[in-house]
Amino acid sequence: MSEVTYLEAIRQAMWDEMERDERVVLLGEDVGLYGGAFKVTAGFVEKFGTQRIIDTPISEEGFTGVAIGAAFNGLRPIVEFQFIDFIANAFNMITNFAAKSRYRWGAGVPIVMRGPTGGGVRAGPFHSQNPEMHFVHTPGIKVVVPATVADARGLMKSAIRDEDPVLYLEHKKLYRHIKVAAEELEGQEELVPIGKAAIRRRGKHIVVITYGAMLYTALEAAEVLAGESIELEVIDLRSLVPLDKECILEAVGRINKVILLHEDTRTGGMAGEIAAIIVEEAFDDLDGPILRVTAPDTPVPFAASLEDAFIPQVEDVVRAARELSAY
Amino acid sequence: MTDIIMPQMGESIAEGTVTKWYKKVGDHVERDEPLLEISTDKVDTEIPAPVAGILSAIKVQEGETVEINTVIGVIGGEVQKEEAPAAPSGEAESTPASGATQPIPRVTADPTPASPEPEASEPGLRSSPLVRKMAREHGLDLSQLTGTGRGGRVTKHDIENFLASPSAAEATPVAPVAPTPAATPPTPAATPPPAEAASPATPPPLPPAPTASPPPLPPSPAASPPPASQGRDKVEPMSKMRKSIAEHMLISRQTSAHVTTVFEADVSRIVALRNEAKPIFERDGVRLTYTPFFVAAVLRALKTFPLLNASIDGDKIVYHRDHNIGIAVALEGGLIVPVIHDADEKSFLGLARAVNDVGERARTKKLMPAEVQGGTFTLTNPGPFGGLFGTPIINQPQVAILGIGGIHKRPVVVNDGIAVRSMVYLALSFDHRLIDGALGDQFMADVKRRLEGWDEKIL
Amino acid sequence: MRLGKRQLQELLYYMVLTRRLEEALARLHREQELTTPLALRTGLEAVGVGASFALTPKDAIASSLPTVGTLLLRGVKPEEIVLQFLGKETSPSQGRDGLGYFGDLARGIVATTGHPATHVSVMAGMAFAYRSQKQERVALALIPEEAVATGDFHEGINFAAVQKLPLIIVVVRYPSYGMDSGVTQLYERAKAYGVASLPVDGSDLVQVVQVVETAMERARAEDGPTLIEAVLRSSRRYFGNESAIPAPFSAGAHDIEDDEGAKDVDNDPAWRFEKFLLQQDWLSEADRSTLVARAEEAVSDALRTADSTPAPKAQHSESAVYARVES
Repeated sequence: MSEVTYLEAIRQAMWDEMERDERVVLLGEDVGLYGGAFKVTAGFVEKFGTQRIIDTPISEEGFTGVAIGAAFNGLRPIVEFQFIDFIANAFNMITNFAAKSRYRWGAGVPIVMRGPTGGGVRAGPFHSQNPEMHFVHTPGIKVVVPATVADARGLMKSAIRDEDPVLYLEHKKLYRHIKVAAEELEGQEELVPIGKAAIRRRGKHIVVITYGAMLYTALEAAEVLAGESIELEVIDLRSLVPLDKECILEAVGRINKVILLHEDTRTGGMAGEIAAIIVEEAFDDLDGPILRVTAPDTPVPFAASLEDAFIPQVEDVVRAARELSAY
Repeated sequence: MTDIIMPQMGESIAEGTVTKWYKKVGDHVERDEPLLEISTDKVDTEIPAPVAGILSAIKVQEGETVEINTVIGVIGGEVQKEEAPAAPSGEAESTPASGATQPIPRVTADPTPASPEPEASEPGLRSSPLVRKMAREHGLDLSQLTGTGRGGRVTKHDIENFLASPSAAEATPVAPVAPTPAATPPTPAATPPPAEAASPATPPPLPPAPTASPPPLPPSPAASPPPASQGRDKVEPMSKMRKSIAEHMLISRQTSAHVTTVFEADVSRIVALRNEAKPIFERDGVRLTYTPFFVAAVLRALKTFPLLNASIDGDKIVYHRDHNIGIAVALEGGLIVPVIHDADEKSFLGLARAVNDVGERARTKKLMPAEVQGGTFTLTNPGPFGGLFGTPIINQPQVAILGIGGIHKRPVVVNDGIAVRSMVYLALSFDHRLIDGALGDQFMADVKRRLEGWDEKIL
Repeated sequence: MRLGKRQLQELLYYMVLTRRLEEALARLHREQELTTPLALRTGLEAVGVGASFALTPKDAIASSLPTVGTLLLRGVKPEEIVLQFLGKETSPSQGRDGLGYFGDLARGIVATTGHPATHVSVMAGMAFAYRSQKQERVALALIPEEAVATGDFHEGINFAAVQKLPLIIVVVRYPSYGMDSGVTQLYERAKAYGVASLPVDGSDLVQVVQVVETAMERARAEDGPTLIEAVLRSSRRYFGNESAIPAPFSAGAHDIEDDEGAKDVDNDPAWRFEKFLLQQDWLSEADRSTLVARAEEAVSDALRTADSTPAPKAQHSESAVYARVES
């Protein structure tokens, strides 16, 4: 029986959408002849041709601009950043052009910006970053972070069909490590709505709210703690913008103790934002302090020992949960 | 001693809520100095002190709502201990709390250095927002509980245990402000908020904020109907769902120019197909009904006639790209229309599964708000009690709704002979503002043709 | 294109209207009714009006030079421009933006941001979409000379060159306003990208129209992008840089309309074109008075409308940020 990886799901979703809608084009560095640095687009140019699969010069600001202009004229471009770290080079184009055009003059920008994020693969400060908060903080952009194979497919399809710019953050560590049986994927919905979180594990003592690859860290921690009669509920946010506040507040209403977990650094991270929402809107439901388990405020280090200390580990979540449980 | 009462701020005002006390018990107030702030249906206002003196008691806490003329505080006389709402201090002795039970008046400036375990020596004084809320709701004095949290902190668990203990009934005063799920442990962890108040007319209001999970057990006395002793009629307030349905039905009637067209279709082929496929679907855990056949036929017809999958926005026509099909489900005391989003993206099996799923969750009140919103076309089924057909009311802001009557065997003329066939009446109500009779009938003819000549593989 | 007498007169009308409207905006700015950072580039009428006139209605233009002539020729009414600058309730962006960087895809106008060359790659994207959808249309980006110092300019022109896109870049050199491009002949730079380029007298309306039309023919023949360097002759600086106050460092700064005595007839694009028409007998004094009166009336009508239009109601227009706001 064949298996579908997270990477294959991204690839398949783009392929399907390009077959379904000829307005969808894909551009980025090495996406054509080379098939993409991670081979996400292998075989695309042979199938769709060079007018739909566009190899660009190394010029993130420029090709993001091209995508915006093409979107103004009816295309639905997908922009690949070879490593998401280089999205910084396109910051002006994304935050000032893509994000504000609808608000300023009613021109929607239906583009998808995607690329590999995250650490854990010993790639150092410029190939391991998690840039989501730069864009979460910019009104006008949606931000999705799939963690499962089905979501990789479903969120990509929804992102391509969305009328607004969507930043689609893939985790490179999940590319080939996460897989499901093809049959299992068959039975899942093809479109995953943007803005809906998923509860991945039910529990009644502490809710861990997370996203991206940290989902698996949270689930492992939940297994460990189950042996100590501490039941973790695990919420996978899936979308950071729009954020599924309803799901978060509902869980806090039931569970009353909260851990916020992410691979991104601490200050100004998503955890702080969610903590503020909970305190503002569900203060009376709290039975303990909201704890954050995040990376520290440093660049992503290169050496394995340093990187492991940087990225939140299962033990970090377990420790926080024990502390909160005893509170 | 002067009582401060909840004033009547307008003729129709029956109650008011204390939103803020500006003074604490023991504080001195001048005459006419702002003393507290109240909020009523009509106005929010400050209440000045009627006399000068010491505020000796606060009887209604912030956030509480009381009838007008209720005493909410006292100026002058002996300073009374600030008490938890409605917790007569005499009951303290009957609680199971350990040793030091009398609440110790707070000393503001304690000159002694903190002892190694200062928290443990003041049980109940450290808690959490949740615990304080639960205490308010159950009228508990936290100092009567033994905290098991860090440093003797009272936790949610402690309150739940206390409430579940036999002595709780005695110790807990009878009039909690509002029943909460925490009062009746254990709350099923997995219960989503109920999808209440849905109707086919418009998307329903959001269910109550998710933080307030459903009160699982007995209805609060406050919510029971007024005494039915005025005359021979029984009077009861409409449920929220009923009110909402009533409102939306009327709005739809006022909004759309309803016209209904009725077709008859021979669904013998579908009946046979369904009987054949039913056991196979069952192996996949899907109960195969006729509904997915109708949904599938409608979806195809909608693609041919997109005006039926549209809405009116002022003087504009909005063609919906999505095909979100509502399925009306009867509930006890009302009905709800869960929506299968992007139904056209699903396989037949997927549709059948979705129909089962939303129907089941509609009946068990487990639909999420998004699942009753965003429909672009609705199916309803007036047939199960033998009705031939009905004239359904459009689910706004949609422009058409298809009513499916019961499937009955009837003698029909086939090739000049009389045959027994499985027949169904299909009634389409549509908005004549947008859809002309001819178009409505063409749409229906298309649906009928697809049903009668069903040629899609379903396995 | 052969221009008849009527057309020439109409072009003069738009030159005068542009000048009068910009003078009115400058007055509003001086009176502090207009608060947006206003960097009028009065004196560019021949470039703005000429480039816009050469395009057909299905083409698109984006300009980071707020020369209102580009907009007027696309069918934007003077009152829309004044409302937009003043941020009034019924302005094209409903008060959400006030800069003259104003957009409307239906009229082929792409709004730029506040930086001079961000739109070069966006217009390249428009051009890409035109070609991939087999539409015979042209995209034009108007930029000031300082824009060629930015990375955006180079990323955009490079992409257009690699893809041979139907893009025209008009770079304006104004000896009076320039922010030190440091290069005398900007059009030479295009050679490095293999892009055809040529200079033109930016004060001569007829020449501008002709050169842009030539570039359009190249674009339609799939010969790729063209860079046009429009050099202004006049060294006169009408206004200061970041606001529309008369240039503080030019002696005797004053309104242009009071400047009859100092008419730079040979170099000022409007006076020069007028003189040309008078000399050729394509314009009588009577025609001229009628035309000026018409322009002045259009401006005063626009100002009156703006005066009686309220400011937007105070509200958060969050719903304008995304196409659809999830409930």
